[in-house]
Amino acid sequence: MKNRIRIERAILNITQADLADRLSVSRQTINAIEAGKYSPTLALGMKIAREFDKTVNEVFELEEGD
Amino acid sequence: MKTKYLLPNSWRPFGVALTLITVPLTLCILIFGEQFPLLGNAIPTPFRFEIPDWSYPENIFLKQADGTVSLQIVDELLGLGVITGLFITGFAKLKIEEERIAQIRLESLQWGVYANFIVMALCIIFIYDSWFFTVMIYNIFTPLLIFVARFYWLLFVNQMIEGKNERNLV
Repeated sequence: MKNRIRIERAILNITQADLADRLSVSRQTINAIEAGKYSPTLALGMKIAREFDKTVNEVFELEEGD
Repeated sequence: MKTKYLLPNSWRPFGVALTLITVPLTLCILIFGEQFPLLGNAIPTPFRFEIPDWSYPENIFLKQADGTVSLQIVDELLGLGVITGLFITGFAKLKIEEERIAQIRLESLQWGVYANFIVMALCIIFIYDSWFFTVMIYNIFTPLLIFVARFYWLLFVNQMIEGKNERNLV
């Protein structure tokens, strides 16, 4: 699953650790999601999108094989 | 993340300590048997107890006049210690307990169950007689052992990868 978390973070000028703190997850989880190594649950995906004031579809995008 | 059915994080050091003490001791007993100091004839009285003969029927020669059987309980205590230690180590919450950790925990548990049934299938094919039951007894511990080993290995690998990424970014 592709995502725009890195870009959105850059726009808000926040680090992975900041985002992790806001979402009550570990920084490793944010890193794994950004790298496409972990697909978050719907709940976490929605929380991430809400942090960036976007919809889930604007932040995450399905890839072939997902 | 709301986590049901997990033990408090504060229990984890106790579980890890218990595992680190009991697993090596149990391995020593398995390797050295009766020669191991904890198991020989010189067992102190607090580690001996009496059980009713119905729970140990095949050893009628050990039966005493009052119908009880005297056993030392070191191996029983160690067995309970291994189970308790591994259980707490595997099922106590981490400091940050979230969905990715829950997924790693679940996948590790799956590995444990797979390993257990693979060993069982191999035993059915290749091992017979009383040796079969001996291996089966030890196989009781495989789900927990493989689960905990795999869980902590994945956490360690993730931490290593994370460290590497950080060094690359600097």
